[in-house]
Amino acid sequence: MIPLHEYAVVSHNATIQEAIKTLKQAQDRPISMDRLPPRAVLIVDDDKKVIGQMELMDVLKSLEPKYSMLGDISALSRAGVNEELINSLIDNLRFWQGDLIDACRRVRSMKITEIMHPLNESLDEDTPLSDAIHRVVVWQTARSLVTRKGEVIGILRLADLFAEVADCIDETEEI
Amino acid sequence: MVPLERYPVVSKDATLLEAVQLFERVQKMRDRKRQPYRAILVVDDDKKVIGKIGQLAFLRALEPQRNILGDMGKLAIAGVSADFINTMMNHFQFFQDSMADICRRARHILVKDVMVPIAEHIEEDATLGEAIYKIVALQTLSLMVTRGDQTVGLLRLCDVVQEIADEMKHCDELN
Repeated sequence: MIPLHEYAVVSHNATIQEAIKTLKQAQDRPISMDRLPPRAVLIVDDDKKVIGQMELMDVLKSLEPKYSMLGDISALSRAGVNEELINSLIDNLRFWQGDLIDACRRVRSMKITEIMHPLNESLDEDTPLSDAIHRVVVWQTARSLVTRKGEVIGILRLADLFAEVADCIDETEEI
Repeated sequence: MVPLERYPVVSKDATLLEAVQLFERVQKMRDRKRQPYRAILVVDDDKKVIGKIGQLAFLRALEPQRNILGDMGKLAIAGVSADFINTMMNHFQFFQDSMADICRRARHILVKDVMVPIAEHIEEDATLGEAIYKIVALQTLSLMVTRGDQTVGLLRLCDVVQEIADEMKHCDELN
């Protein structure tokens, strides 16, 4: 688990550009080579309560408001729709014809609350590792909140669970 | 784009242990100025990229009943309540063994049995705008970059967001 104060956190009043800057600073902070840098920013309200997260995909979606209409086209592929039809759908739905610089200029002063999404998954700090892995796999989430008596104290990331498991696979002796 | 020759690659016939060891070697040697690798590409006998294995796929591989899990992940997307999903998770009790036993078993799993196939690609001369659109539409963390029929690299969400962040900074300098 990463304690909340060591993670990239911004106020709900921050802009997208400030959130990206905070994320970059957290990524550049010297940490152990065993630990991967963060890929999301947590957003807190005035009482320092976590109210959401901004992931990298949210930054891309912010460039074109109509992206929210897209949903998850990759679900079509999983449902067996053929690739040619999906590609044709993607081409027909192309919204963004504008300039990347204009899009960046437009979104950098937008409030982070306009693009954040909730982080609903949480685990108690005493949850056994195997149970945590199981839940993260089922939730298909990159991170979940860690709570003590209902209060958020940190973040459990997929990357950190993976590191634990990788060590275990590497070091477990054959019988 | 990360050129294919710089990306960690394993054969489809490699074991999970071999993939984990490659992951660890790559992390130890990583250039801190670049975004770290969070997945390994999987190639067939002709060295053609056929899939990838990321952190979630590794954890998923530990679950003996992983094929059922895939469907449970879709329940949340379909709007089934978290309480109901938790009840089902408790009912299945996937992890009955100790972590050491789970990891010992995982060492011999073949990469080809747990990798995620990748078909999404973009031509190397596509614009950044087209790449962003495709990444958002397909909700993917990376796209294969192709030149004709040949895969020449991988475009990752984290690298695209880095471009956007640089562009926003550039806007500041112009103002």
